[in-house]
Amino acid sequence: MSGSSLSWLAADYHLPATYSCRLPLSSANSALISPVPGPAMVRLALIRVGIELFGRAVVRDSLFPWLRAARVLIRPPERVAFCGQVLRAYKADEDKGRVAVGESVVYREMAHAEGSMTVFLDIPLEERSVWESLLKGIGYWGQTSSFAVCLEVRERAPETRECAQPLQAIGEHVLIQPFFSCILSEFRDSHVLWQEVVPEETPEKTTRNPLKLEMYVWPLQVTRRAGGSTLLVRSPFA
Amino acid sequence: MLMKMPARSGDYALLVRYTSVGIGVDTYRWQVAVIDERQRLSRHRAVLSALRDTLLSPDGAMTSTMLSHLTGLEGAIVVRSSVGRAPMYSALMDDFVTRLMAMRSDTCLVYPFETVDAFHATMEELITISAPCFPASYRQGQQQEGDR
Repeated sequence: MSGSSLSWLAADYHLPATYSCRLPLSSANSALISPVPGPAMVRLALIRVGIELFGRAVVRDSLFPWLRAARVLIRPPERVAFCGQVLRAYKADEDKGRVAVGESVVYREMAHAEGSMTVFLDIPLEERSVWESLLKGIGYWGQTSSFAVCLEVRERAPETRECAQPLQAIGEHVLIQPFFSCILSEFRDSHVLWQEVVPEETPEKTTRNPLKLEMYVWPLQVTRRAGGSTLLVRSPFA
Repeated sequence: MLMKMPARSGDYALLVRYTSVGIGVDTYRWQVAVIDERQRLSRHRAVLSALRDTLLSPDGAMTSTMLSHLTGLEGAIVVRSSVGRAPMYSALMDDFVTRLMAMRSDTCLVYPFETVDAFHATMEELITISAPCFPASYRQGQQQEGDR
């Protein structure tokens, strides 16, 4: 791993319909959302696509060591609108061999975007085709109905002022008050174990949480708020 | 007696993704559960038929009194014939069919339609001639076993 040189790949995603990426710690029955997926969601989506395309063994042995350690940056779309929706939710419960489907009413924020979002991944370029397949293979973020289409993958370094940043990484000179912020999950560190991320593969339970929670600030400013709906517009950090 | 009934008409945008490679597959672990190709084909045809009928003969709330129905249908069906995703584009954009057509290639087939009968004909063709393939990881595993 250490001998390979790293370079940035940028993948642009079009979000053709409403989508919903639930914030960690927010209730499934009253879900708040982030404007686009956070870093842990990107890593987990790449793992999922990797298993689909190449199988578990390849992802575990070849890709996961890179995926857990790669730098991930996310540039949000130009405009993102949030609105609250009241939905019917169904849950299947199995009891004594019989499956009963329960129905309840839930509240969930949904987002709609204008412009594409970009995921930047710092990875070894000698296996560029593999990473390109993974990035192009992502069909949704968050809920399976949150469709996403990868329009293009190219070599391009991120403009960090346009990407979400952990609060701790933002300098004191940046006035964060006008920017949208939320809690996101990220891998605990670059040494997270495969068994911690894909726990059902080994019989023994792992006790360590592979994820950590961190406050992130998005380069998005709230420009309008009316009755539970919010409009965010991209604006780079100063 | 006078009765007031609601009546409405509008343009609706709908996006549907069907991942035929997931037929008979545990998509959490990406392990094939149904290996019999005839079984998979009949399930695939049932899915496409249901999708066709959902649009051409809608069912649901107020069906018995209002009988909701189409007054027009336009769009595009995009089929990816190799490993990868078929592109989608927001139907709220006026040029979405043009954009999808621009992404056409040997492995990305685009079937635009402007009428219900054109949609029906394309779906019938897909039901007749298309078949779900096995997941890439499964095919690789089978090939490796064959090589041994």
